[in-house]
Amino acid sequence: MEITQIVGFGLVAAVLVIILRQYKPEIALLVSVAAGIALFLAILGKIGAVIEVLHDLSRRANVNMVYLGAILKIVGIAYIADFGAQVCRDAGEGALASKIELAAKILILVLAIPIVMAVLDILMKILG
Amino acid sequence: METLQNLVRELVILIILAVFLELLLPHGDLRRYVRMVLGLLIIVAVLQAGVSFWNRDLAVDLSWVSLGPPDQAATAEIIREGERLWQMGQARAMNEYEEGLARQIKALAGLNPDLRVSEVRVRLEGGAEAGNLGRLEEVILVLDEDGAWGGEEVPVTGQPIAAPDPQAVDRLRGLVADFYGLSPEQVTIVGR
Repeated sequence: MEITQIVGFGLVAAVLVIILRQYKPEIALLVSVAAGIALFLAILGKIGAVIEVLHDLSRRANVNMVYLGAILKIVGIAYIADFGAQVCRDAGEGALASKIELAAKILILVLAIPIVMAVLDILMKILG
Repeated sequence: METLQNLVRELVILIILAVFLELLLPHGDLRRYVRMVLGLLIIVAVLQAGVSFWNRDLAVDLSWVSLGPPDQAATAEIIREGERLWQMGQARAMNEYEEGLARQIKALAGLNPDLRVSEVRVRLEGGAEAGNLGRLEEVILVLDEDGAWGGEEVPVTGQPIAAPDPQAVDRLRGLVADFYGLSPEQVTIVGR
């Protein structure tokens, strides 16, 4: 079962990080980041199937693929920023974590602009 | 009745899509932002479905009023007229899609503080191959004359030119190409 391997790997990494944090905090941080990336890569292959289902549902619901692509990019930005902010918080850099989150919020709003324009376009058509 | 059935089916699929996407959202502070954008997407899809349903419904009513009972002699003429109307409608839909897309790209390009974009032209796939109709082929960004090149005179009119600040041009090209899934070569930046 993959989930047992993932949970086992996570627990081993957590124990390793706790032990290392007492003697070499900087190495502990690197181990934590490496474990996070390894876990992400382990499930990367499964995400493709989910994306395929989302594409299929969008086609059936007549949703423009550009908008779905924007949503998926936004979800990706949110996850990556969340991961980076958590690592910064673990390292005691709360201010840096806040900056990462701020950058992610701005990027999300930038990607949302075409969708906002589409809503305005449709509303103008209905009202005008 | 069939259009109503299609509308309900589209809405059901849309709800399933929304629930599925909601499951993918992260747990942190960013969740609220992603949910906002997701909500906008759902609003767009529901409005589009509603507008198309209303238009189709109206068209059906008009057909009853104007055509009356079928007539053998006029059938060919009606079919020809229908095909002409279909082509006109398709051309109009493509034009509206182009204009809407250009407005979206202009708003996106407006975020770049270094280069001011005065006009956006888009070229769409016009072929009738399945799945290719309406695909974005090329985006042409026309830069504003004042300030776009640091206040200097614009050297070339309507032709791709080497910009004084290639990094800013590359950033703008990359932003548009990345968002719409195009290669950088499909995004052309020209001076007015």
